[in-house]
Amino acid sequence: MTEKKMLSLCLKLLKQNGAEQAQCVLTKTMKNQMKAQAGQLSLLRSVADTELRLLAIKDGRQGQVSINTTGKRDVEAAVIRVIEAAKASPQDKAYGISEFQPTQVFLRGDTKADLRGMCRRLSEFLQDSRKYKGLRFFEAALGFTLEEKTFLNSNGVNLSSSIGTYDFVVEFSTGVRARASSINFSELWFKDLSRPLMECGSTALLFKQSGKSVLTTPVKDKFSGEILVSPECLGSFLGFLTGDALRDAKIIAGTSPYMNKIGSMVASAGFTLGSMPGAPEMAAGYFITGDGYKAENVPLVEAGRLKTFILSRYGAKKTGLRRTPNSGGCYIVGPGLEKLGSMVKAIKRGLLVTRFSGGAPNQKGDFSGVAKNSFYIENGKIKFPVSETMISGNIPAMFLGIKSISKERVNLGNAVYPWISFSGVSVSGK
Amino acid sequence: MDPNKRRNFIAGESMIKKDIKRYAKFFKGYTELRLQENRTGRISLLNGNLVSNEENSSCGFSSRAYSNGYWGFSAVPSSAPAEIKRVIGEAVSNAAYLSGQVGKRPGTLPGENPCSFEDFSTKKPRKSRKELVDFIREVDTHIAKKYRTLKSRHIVLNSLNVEKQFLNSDGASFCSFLPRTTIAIYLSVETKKGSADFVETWGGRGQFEDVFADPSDLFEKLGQQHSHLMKKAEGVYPAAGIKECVLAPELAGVLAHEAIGHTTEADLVLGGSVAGNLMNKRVASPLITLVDYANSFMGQTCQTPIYVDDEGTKAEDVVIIDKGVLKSYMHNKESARHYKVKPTGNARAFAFSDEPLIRMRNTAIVPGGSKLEEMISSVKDGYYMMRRGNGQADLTSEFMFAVTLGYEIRNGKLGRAIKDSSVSGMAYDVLKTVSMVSDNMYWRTFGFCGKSQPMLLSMGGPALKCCINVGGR
Repeated sequence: MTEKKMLSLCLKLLKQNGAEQAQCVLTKTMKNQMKAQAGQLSLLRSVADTELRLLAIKDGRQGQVSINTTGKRDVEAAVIRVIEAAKASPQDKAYGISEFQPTQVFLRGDTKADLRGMCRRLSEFLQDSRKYKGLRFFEAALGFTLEEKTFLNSNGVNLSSSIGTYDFVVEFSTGVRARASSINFSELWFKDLSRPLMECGSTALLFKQSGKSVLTTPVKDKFSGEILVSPECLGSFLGFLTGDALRDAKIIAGTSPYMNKIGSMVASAGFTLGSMPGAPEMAAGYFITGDGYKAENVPLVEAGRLKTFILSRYGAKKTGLRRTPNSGGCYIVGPGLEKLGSMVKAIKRGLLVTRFSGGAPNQKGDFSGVAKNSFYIENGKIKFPVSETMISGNIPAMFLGIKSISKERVNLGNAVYPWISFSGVSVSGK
Repeated sequence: MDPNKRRNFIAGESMIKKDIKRYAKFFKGYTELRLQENRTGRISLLNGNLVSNEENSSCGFSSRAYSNGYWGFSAVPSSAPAEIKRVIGEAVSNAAYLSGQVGKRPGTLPGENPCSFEDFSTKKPRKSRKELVDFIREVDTHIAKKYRTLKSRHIVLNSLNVEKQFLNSDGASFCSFLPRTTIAIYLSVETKKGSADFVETWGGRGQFEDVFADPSDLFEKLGQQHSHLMKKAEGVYPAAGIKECVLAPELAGVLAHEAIGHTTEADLVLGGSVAGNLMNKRVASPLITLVDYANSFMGQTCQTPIYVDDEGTKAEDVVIIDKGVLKSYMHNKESARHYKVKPTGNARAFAFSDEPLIRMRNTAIVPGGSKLEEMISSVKDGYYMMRRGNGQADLTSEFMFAVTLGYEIRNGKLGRAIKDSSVSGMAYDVLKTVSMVSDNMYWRTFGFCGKSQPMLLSMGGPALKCCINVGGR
C-alpha cells in the first residue's frame, strides 16, 4: 500500500469514528551515521523510523496521537485513542486544520547515503585535524538522513516531500599536559559531500581558537562593555526571539516583551532577520509546515523593525493576528557594513564570545551565564582567553543597542549568521 | 480494545511478555538485541487554553554488534521476525564495513550474564484521558480563582514510560518498565514594583496514578510558589562576583551531576576531561562524598533505578569521590577494558534507535551533619540559592546552572528575593570551599540530561555552604 493510500484510509477511519476534521502525517526517516570517538572511527549506524501523527477534531475538541508503526491493528488502536483524546478536550474555536491547497510534491537532495564518500570525508577530516596540536575529539559524527513526509487532511490538503541531508557534528577541546581548553562544538548541515568537512562552517577557526585557549585567565574585575558574538554563538541570544518571545505561547499568554511591537524598532537599523526554509543556502530547509501549509520564506525583522511574530494557525486564531507562513527556523541575518577585523579594533573593552553557557532568559529577556571559549579584548586587541568569566544583560536591549554587524557570514546549513557586536553587557570575573 | 489499559501498539500486548531469546541464534560475535517502547503523554493548559493534548508511542528493535574493534548498529520500528533477523545482520555487517574500510583493531569486551525483571507500572486502575485533562483543569481553575493578579499561568503534565527487553550474546538479559510523571506549573506576574516568572515541578518515578492523587494536594505547594513569585517580582539583581552561598539540596544535586558527574564519565575522560589527571587526588573538601547510585539509596529504591544496563552489565554503585578524594569513573564495557577495571553498568540508551552511551543514573552528594538553619545563620553577606533551571558542564569542570529562586543572606538572616541569575565555577575548586553539609537529602528527577541523546536520570544532595561565582549586575 502506498503512503497516500494508507493515509487516506486513516482519514476515512477517523471520519468513521466521529472526527469532523482530521489530519494525518506520515514521516519516514532513514539515517546512516558514522562516528569517531577519541579521534578514531568507531561506529556505523543505520536507523529507520516512522512517525504516523493523527489529529482529530470533534465537536470543537481536539486530540493528537502519534505512533511509529503502520500495521492495520496499530492504526485502528491509534484512531480510537485520538478520538478519546479529543473527547477529553474542552471546546476551542481556534482548533482547526489547514485549508485546501493544490497538491504538491517537493524533492531535494540525495535519496541514498554515499557511505564510501562519508567514510572518505570523515577519515580525511580526522587526518586534517592532526595538524592542530593537542586537539582532542570527544566525538565526530557524519550522517545522512532521508526524510519522506506525506501530509493529508480532510480539507483535501495533499502535500509531500523527500529531503536528503548530510549533517556533521564535532565536539572537541585542546589538551596540553594536564591542562585542557573548554569543550566546544561545531554542528553543520549540507546538501552533498562536495567539500572537505574542514572547509565547511568555521570549524578550522574554532580549532585554532581552541588551541589558543588552553591557558586561560579570569577577568579580574567587573565592567560594562561590548561582546562580539560569533556566528556559532549568535543563536544563544537570537533564540530568545525566534524560539520564545515571538512564538505562540508567549504571544497567547501576553507575556512577550514584543507584545504590540509589530512595526516598531526591536533592533538597530542595520539588523535584518528572515526565516528562510526555501533559501538555496539552507541545507536544513523544509517544504511543509507543522500545521499543513506549504512553507514560505518570511522576513521577521527588516532594518530593525519587527514585521511579524512566528504564529501557527492556532496561535493566529487565538490572538486574532496573521498566521506566519512557515514554522520558523532556517534563520538568515543580513550582512553588515564592517569587516570583522575592524569590529575588534573598535572595541575599547569587552569579550569575543564564541560559546555561551547560560540559564534560560526570563520573560523580559534578562540573562546571565558563562562566556565560554571566549577572549578578552582591550583597546582593539584580543589579549587573552578567559575562564570563570560571566556576562549578563537584557536581550531586547542588546538587539536595540547593536553596535556593528560583520560583512563576513558563516553558513551553518540551518542558519546563516554574521558576527555581531553588542554594547552594554555586564562582564564579571573572579 | 480498552484504550486506558497499557498496551503495546505493535503486538497488542505488553512487550515484557514478548520472548526475544529465540533471535539469539542470529547473533554473530558479541551482539546485543533490544526491544523498546517509549510512550509519552502531554497535557498543557495555557491561561485555560488546552494547547497540547497528545500521546506518542515510539517502539522498535535495535541490535548492536562488535567486530574487530568496531561497532555496528541498526534499528527498525517493527517486530516482524524477518525484520529482526535483518537488523541483527545489518548491525554485524556495519561493524564489518568499518573494519574493511579502516583495518582491524584487536580486543574483546568484558562479559557477564546477569538477569533482571523490574516492573514499576502502576497496579491501580488507569485513569482515562478525560480524567487527566479534568485533573489539570481543576488545578488551573484553582489558580485562576485564587491568584487573580497573575499575568499568565501554564500547567504541563508530562508522562514518560520506558519499557525495555534486552538480550546479548553473553546471555545477559533484562526486562524493565520505568515510568515517570511530572506536573510543571509556570506562573508569571507584573506589578507596579516589578515582574517575575517562576516554575515549580512536582512528581517523579511512577505512572500518574502512583504519583498524583487529588488536585487539592498541590494547592498548599501552589500557595508557597505564589508567595515566592510575589517576592521575586519585588526582588533585586544579585551582585556579580564570588559570594559565600548556601546551595539548597536541589542545587547540590545539579552540582553533583553537571559539575562533577560529567567530568567522570569515562568516555569524556578519554576525550580530555580534567578528571583524567586527578584519580586518587584530593578534589574536594573532606566533607564531600559523591556517589552515582545504581538503584537504591539507604534501602530505598532510587528515582531512576537501573539493575542491568543496556550492554548487559549488572549495575553497581560508583563511589566517585570518597571524603574528598577522586576514586572512580563511570564505565561502559569498552572504557572499562581501556582502564582495566570492571564495567559499572552506566551504559544506557534513551530510545530504541539509540546506541548505549556512558550515562549517570542517580548521582548525589551524601548528606553531612549540619542543620540548614545554622548554615544560613553562619553567612554574613551572601545568598541562599533555592531553585535551579538548566545547567551545563565542561571537560575543564567549569559549570554553570541557572538559579530561578534565591534570597539574600545578611548577617545570618534571609533578606530580599533575587531575580533570575546563574552560578558558575570550577567544580573541583568550588567543592574544596565547602565548609558545611546539611543532614537532609533531596532527590530530583525532572527534565532530561543531554549528551547526544536525552536521558532520564535523577540527582540529589544535601544543602552545601560554599563560595561560588554569581552572575549578576
